[in-house]
Amino acid sequence: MKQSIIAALAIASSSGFAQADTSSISDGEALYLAHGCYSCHGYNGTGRTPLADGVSGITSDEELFLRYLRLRADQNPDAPSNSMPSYSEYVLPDDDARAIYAYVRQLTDEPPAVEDIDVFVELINEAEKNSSDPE
Amino acid sequence: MRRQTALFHMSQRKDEDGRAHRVSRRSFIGQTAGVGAASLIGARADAAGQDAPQSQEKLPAASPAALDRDTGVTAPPAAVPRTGHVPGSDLMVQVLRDLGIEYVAANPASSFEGLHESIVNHGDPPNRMPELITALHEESAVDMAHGYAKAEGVPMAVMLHATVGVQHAAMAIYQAYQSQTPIVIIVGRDDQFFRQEQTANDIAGMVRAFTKWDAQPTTLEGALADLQRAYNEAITPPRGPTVVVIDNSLQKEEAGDLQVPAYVPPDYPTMSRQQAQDIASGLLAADNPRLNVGRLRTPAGIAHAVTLAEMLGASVQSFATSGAMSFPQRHWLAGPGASTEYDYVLGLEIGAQDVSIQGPPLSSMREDRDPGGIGFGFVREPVPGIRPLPPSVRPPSPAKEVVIADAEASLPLLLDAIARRIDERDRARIAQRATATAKANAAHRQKQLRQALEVRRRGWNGSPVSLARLYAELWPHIRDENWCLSSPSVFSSQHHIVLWDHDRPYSYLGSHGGGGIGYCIGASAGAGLAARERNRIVVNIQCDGDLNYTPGALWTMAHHKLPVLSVMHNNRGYHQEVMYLHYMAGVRNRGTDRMHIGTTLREPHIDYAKLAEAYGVESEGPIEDPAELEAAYRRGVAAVKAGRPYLIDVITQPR
Ligand code: HEC
Ligand SMILES: Cc1ncc(C[n+]2csc(CCOP(=O)(O)OP(=O)(O)O)c2C)c(N)n1
Ligand SMILES: [Mg+2]
Repeated sequence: MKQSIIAALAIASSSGFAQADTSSISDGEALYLAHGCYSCHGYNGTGRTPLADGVSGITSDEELFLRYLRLRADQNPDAPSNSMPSYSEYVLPDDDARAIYAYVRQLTDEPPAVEDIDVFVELINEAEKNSSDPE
Repeated sequence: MRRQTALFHMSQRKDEDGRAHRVSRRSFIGQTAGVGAASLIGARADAAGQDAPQSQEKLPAASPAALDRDTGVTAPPAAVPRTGHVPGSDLMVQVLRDLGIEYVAANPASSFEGLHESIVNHGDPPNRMPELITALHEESAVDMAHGYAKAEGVPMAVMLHATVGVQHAAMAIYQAYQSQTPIVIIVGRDDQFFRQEQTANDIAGMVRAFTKWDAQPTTLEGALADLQRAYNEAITPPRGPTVVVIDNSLQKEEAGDLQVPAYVPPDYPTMSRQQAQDIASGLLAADNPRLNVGRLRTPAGIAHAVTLAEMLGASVQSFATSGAMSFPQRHWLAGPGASTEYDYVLGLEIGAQDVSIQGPPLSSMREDRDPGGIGFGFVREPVPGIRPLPPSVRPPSPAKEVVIADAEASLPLLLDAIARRIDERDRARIAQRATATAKANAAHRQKQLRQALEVRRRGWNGSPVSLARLYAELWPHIRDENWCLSSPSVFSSQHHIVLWDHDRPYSYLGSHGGGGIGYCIGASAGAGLAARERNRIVVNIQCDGDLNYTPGALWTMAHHKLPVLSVMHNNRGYHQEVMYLHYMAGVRNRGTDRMHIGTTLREPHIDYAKLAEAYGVESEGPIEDPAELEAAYRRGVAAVKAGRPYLIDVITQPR
């Protein structure tokens, strides 16, 4: 489902990759917060549906990103939902959306590898130690 | 002449047996007019090097005994020899004691002053079994009982003050009802000597539609029997809160020679021997049997379920990460097993493909308890494509056969039927299966863990703190402790499910019951009551919004020395609603940048470390840098292990 939306949008998009300047990045941050993107994507794009480190295909292209924002995301607008809201041009003009895009594009996370997080390594060792020992 | 116009303000600490061992502060207000009190204050104050009272008279020194008594250093005499006087409420306390009720939580009130006085004064030692727990809000009192009963499988009691107390408690009662958790609620009633607004003909009627049973006895004898019945009704399925409305006049009535009636434990509905034999045959004949283990009643039920699984070498679906009293999550049989093509699935208090043994559902009480037709939770028809109805409304299970019986009480019959039938050939087959199941489950766990960790390293070093890190870094600090996670984790992304091992009956106490926010802090105090004398610690991942309904529960934790470590999931708002509102604004297409209004807790930020401190709970934070978590956890766990509640405020990612 998501794949097909991405594909459809990719075809429709006229591509074109705007260079972001620093002012649009800081505007973008303020807009990212004001329009609540932080609320589902995390303050640093590392939330529930991550955006940092370019993990989202949608953020690979500005026009694609804009079109995605304009989509009605859910089938049932009446039900309370944590799903991606729809942002029309009216509530989020193109310029603002582009500023958000610039901001999202440069979000980095770069977390340590699993092997470099002590507690994770302990968990893995524990799971391997308990391996198949019925007694 | 009034004998005493001196007032004392002192704080003292008492041992559990009622002995005081410290008087830390006192002050003196007013003029001395008599001899006793005034004199002793003078003597005491001089000795302590404090200001002497402004008395002109030279007064004789008090005897050491009088001095001790008046400064509260000694307990009141254990028994007041007033021959022939036994207040009815003493017998009520005896009933509660016989039932094994450890605690009665209450916000004090005149409508149960008789019973209150008996709890704290009657018995040897007094105020023990049950012990009076001070709640700062009736909602907290019931939430405490809710958390306690989930952890222990048996109820504690709550006292509520007439019409007003019940109304304060209503939501918490509702949630205990929806989560089928036993609580004995005593409601004080005073028809004669107190405000009319606070009494009513049928106080229990206010909560009848969401309690399992209630009574309003008219005699002392009846009150004692009704307390026993309330307990039995609460613990038999469908379990839930029960109410006894007890008039103050019965509490104060002279009991004379009346004896407490002998307690008769309840009968639990069990399946028939024939049904047990049929299920045993089905399980033994199967090549790949499976158990789904939902929420049993008590640890004894879990032990039987473990025996059953081990006898069969069957893989088990555990619900230990959905709530209390289920199968140990990391038991070697828990997991999908070697093949997910199961040919006989038995459900215990949960649905299953073949047979399911389940206690009667809540809906079975609807007609009796809700004659007015309020229809709590029953009003909605399913909307296709939208989330399912709550479990209490859904038909019991999609099983081919549903045996309406208490699974825990039925298990011995099933174990017996299997033991009679099983032969050597079965045993050999089962041993092989068990080995394969264990191996497959271990491999599954390893794979699942690796995938989970890959996702959970995301945002590891970010600020605000990621919830995955908040849960992950706590684990090494509690892994070797006897811990209980008291808080619903649905808003903190449930990372404990994959990162922690839920192998005890009370490892995770599950959700609110009816989604009512404000439950968590009180329920955690209740889990703390269950933990306090059982060498157990409680972990409470506390949402900020939730804490602000009844923060007074923090004081209860401090006062009663409850070993609860609260770690704030402080996303500075009602985040669930932030998300809903953003979505709504998108649907309406008229502005998405004002959704913080009414949903966030900023300007000013709430300082939870200070809030805790104000209530007497040690605290630290706010922590924004995840690198500081580790040391804070070390301090926090050390404090709770020493019996001191602790709160760490952590500024977190929204989810
Ligand atoms: C109420 C929660 C919510 C809010 C607010 C929200 N999103 Fe989303 N967003 C989601 C969810 C959920 C998804 C995943 C949808 C899916 O999987 O189809 C998503 C997906 C996305 C994606 C695609 C991610 C991918 O998987 O490739 C982008 C880009 C995105 N959102 C950007 C934004 C921006 C920019 C904003 C603010 C203007 C925003 N979102 C606000 C919930 C939200
Ligand atoms: C008694 C009650 N009031 C209001 C709500 C609506 N509600 C659902 S989730 C929520 C937000 C809770 O905030 P918090 O506890 O901080 O959790 P968060 O969503 O921020 O993680 C609210 C207010 C509710 N469920 N129950
Ligand atoms: Mg919150």
